[in-house]
Amino acid sequence: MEELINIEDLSTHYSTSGGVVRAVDNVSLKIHKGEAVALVGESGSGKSTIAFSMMRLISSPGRIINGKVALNGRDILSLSKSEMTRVRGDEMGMIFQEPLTFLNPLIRVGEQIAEAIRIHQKAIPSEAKEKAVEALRLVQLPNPETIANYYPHQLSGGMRQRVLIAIAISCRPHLLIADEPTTALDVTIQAQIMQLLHKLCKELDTALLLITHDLGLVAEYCDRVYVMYAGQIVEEADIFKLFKSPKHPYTAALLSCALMFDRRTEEFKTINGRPPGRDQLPTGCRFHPRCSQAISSCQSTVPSMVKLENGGQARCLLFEETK
Amino acid sequence: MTEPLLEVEDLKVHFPVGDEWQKRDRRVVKAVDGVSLSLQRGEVLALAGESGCGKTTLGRSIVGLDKPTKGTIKFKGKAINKLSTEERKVFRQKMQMVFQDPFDSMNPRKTAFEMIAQPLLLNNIVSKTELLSEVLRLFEIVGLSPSKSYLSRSRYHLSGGERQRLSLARSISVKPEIIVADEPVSALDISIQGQVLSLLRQLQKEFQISYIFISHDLSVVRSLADRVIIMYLGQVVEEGTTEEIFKSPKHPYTLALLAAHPIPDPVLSRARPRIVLTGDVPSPINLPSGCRFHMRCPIAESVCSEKQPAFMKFGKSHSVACHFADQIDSKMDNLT
Repeated sequence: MEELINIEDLSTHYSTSGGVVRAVDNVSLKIHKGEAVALVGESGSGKSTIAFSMMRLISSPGRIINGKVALNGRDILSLSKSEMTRVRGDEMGMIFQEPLTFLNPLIRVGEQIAEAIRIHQKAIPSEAKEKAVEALRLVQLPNPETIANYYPHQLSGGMRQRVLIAIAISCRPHLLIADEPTTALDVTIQAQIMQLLHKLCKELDTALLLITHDLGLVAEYCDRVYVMYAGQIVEEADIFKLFKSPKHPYTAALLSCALMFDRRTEEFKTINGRPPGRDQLPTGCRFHPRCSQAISSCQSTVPSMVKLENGGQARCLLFEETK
Repeated sequence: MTEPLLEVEDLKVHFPVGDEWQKRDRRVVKAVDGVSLSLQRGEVLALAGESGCGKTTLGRSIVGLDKPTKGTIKFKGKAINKLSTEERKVFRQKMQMVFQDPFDSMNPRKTAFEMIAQPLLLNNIVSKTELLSEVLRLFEIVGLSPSKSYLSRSRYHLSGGERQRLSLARSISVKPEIIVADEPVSALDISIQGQVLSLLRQLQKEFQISYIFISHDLSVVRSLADRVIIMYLGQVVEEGTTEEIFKSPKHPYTLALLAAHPIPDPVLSRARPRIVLTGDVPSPINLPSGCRFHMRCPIAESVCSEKQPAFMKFGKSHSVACHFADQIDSKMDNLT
């Protein structure tokens, strides 16, 4: 498969009065054309910071310290501001958890879609308007001509998310980044939106980076997974292999916490302790204080990413030793 | 069966749409519209459904935070709106609530010690001399350990999981018989969720506490509850034991909820049949006629928009409000 995104050694840090927060630390990640990739982790693991870094939407006190983000072989971190504006929308679209925050409350939704089309495709207003209605039809909103004249507050949560998707795909990007796109929605609406995203990405041959904490969505809609913990990627694997036999102790623990749907539970599985505050990261492996398989060297040695036999990678000393 | 600990009969909770200044607006939101349920001692009853189905309002009116428009709530056989002042005080002690976001339900200026000490003193549970040891004992029960280190912390100095433990300590401090828990784990990461769920289970066993467990997360419901009530637009659509609801659901809405729930297994989740409902939940102000679900129902027929379905009984504990509950399997098969 052809490579679309290649992130190498990306580090994004926030300088706060309490010290430097290493939100994303030496992350490498690849996305191929048309592929659905999941970035999964608990809150604060740095998954959204990766997405914002890819779009170069990190604002002060955050800063991309190091690394490369290549899109079709071109390093987008070195592009000028105006070149980057063209990349956003044209080549990468993004949708967010709470669509209301990202829609202008005073502008009709049709106009908000048309704006993106006018700017990115240099379309004349009447043409942009037609294309906006077309985009609303594509995201399966009923009566797109009427809905184009609505303001965001007149729409339900699910419909707003559809509008955001319409904006993101209006210029046919190669990659769609979806940051917790359904977390604020009810399950039946979540199913509608995920089915829509899945279908659109397949039809338009768009790659999807799904950022989520929900292992169920990952299992159903993605081809490959990156698991994050405390700012680092700890495991990468094919979706079926990851769920069948997770390699990193954190992934294994996380999967065992996910409640199975078929029985009453007397003893709930948990991971001891809680994720570290990111201004006080543990030495050595960041997961070692909570890890059930930790050995003494985990405290002092920082593990590196190791390629595994199953085709994936994991960041754990257990695999370095066997090499 | 023994007398239920709690009985709710035909409860309605309606809220006016207009406020003080818009009294001409006569419309009402029918948040809860004719719900009956009962709760046995030591039982975990889950209220499940999507946002706006009335599960939280139902929970709040059971503990007395929202006033019912109609219907009765009986605690140990006595209607709670007919309690004397003295009886009401006891009732409030026996019935506690835990909220989704413990941060918002804690006084920002109080320390953890003060938050637990206040209900203990107000209800004369312990004397002042035993106060400290009782607070420490409660901290230990809910897993805030070492307990002394938590005494002077405010809500800002606790993690999400710790806050939820503290609010559970606060609830059990007054020795309740029922805890209404409103989405107690949905704000927590999954590695922490299990810790709080284990604690709920442990408290249930140790103190014979009954729960009304409000949740939209069906996998949490599946693992914790003994009985489940599925709600849609202020009404019960299906009720049964957890086994009945999850193994042989009979309401099309329950089936759709189960089918939409993500399962963390790529093989299973991709193999199961899809029932994707169209549209959104209608507004609880302009309720649909007949069965409230008919506009989104994949198997609706003309009778569904005309007549409200009565409960159909399957065995002792399973009841379903659908005209076609007895033919649900063949109806759903015809769809695919």
